[in-house]
Amino acid sequence: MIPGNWMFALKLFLPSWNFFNDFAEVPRLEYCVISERTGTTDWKPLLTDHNTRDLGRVLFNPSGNLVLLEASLVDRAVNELSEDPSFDRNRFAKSETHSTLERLTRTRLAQLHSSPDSDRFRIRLVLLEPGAPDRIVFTSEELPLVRPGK
Amino acid sequence: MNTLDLVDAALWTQRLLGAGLFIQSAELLKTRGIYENGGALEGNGVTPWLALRLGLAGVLIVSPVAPLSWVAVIVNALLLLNSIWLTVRSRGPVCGGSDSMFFQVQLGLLIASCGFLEPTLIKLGLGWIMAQSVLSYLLAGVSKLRTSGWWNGRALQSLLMSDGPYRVFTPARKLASSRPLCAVLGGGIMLFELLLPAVLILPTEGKLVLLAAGCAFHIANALVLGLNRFVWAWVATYPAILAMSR
Repeated sequence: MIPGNWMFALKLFLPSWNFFNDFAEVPRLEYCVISERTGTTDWKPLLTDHNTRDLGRVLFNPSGNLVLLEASLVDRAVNELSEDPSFDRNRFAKSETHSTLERLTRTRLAQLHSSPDSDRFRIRLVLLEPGAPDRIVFTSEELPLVRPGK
Repeated sequence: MNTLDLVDAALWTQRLLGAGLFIQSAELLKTRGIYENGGALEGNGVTPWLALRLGLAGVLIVSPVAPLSWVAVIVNALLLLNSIWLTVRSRGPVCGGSDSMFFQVQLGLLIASCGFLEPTLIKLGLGWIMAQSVLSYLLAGVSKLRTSGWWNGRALQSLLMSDGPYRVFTPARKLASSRPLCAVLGGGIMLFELLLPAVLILPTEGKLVLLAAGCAFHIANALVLGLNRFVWAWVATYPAILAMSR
């Protein structure tokens, strides 16, 4: 069996040209912070900055493309979950995909949230469909906000 | 009006491709924190490999040697390997469809750059680039044609109103307030994508009009959705289209 990352390289040779053909469901990564001092926050979307008036990005758009890369990591995680009929929550929690989402969230929260080492967070993957209730496809256990060993 | 000859087409393809990969590499170097310790894609360092990518892309832009030569073959092969490394290191494409088209152009250009060994290879390489480009528009158009949201404006409206993943150009969000306008714009996009393959049979003036429309389409996407890499990835295919559809 070809390891997952090399499968992506293989797909470079077999491109798919279906762009923007389905907007039925949009995946979103959400988080909440659990603090001994202030309690648990509401669930909030991790990637929130979706407006810009920057004309220069037509030529150079590092931050916008970074957001797209981060969003594609969320997209892949949802696909991985949807394509696994025998979804094992514990197995996913130990997967590289989960670790990627965990690090993505921790990095973002480090910029947003100055907290004592004891604070923790949870992540969840939600599918949004216009006119339908949000569908939660995965919710994590509590995770340390400060990376273990740091 | 004359169209491009094959060697000039290879030269312009490599310059446009080089510009796209140069910008992509510079953007990735600026945001390389995602690959570093604690970042979502943490692992081995990426800076030397991205710097190499930037340098090789610069060589393509400046084009100090003939596009059909051993040096060009080596530069193109190294860039192709670098693209495979980047995809594996990023656990997938760094920017979806633009990576796919960059890769097809790189593949075609590598084959074309071997044209000094066997002249058929330049036609094969540029033909590959042309075929992938025309197919990309046609398949994207056909796919939208089958989606009711593109007929009634809902798809474009959702895209312009969306809270992710795209950073939408704020003034463009106003277009989303009118479903009929979105339907007209969506219809225009489908029509353009379905018509583009006509570049293969139109006279040169017609080809230039369609390709100019293509440039405008991709620049509009870069402005509205931030898809700047798509501009270079697709426009880099246009010299091959002009040269191979004579």
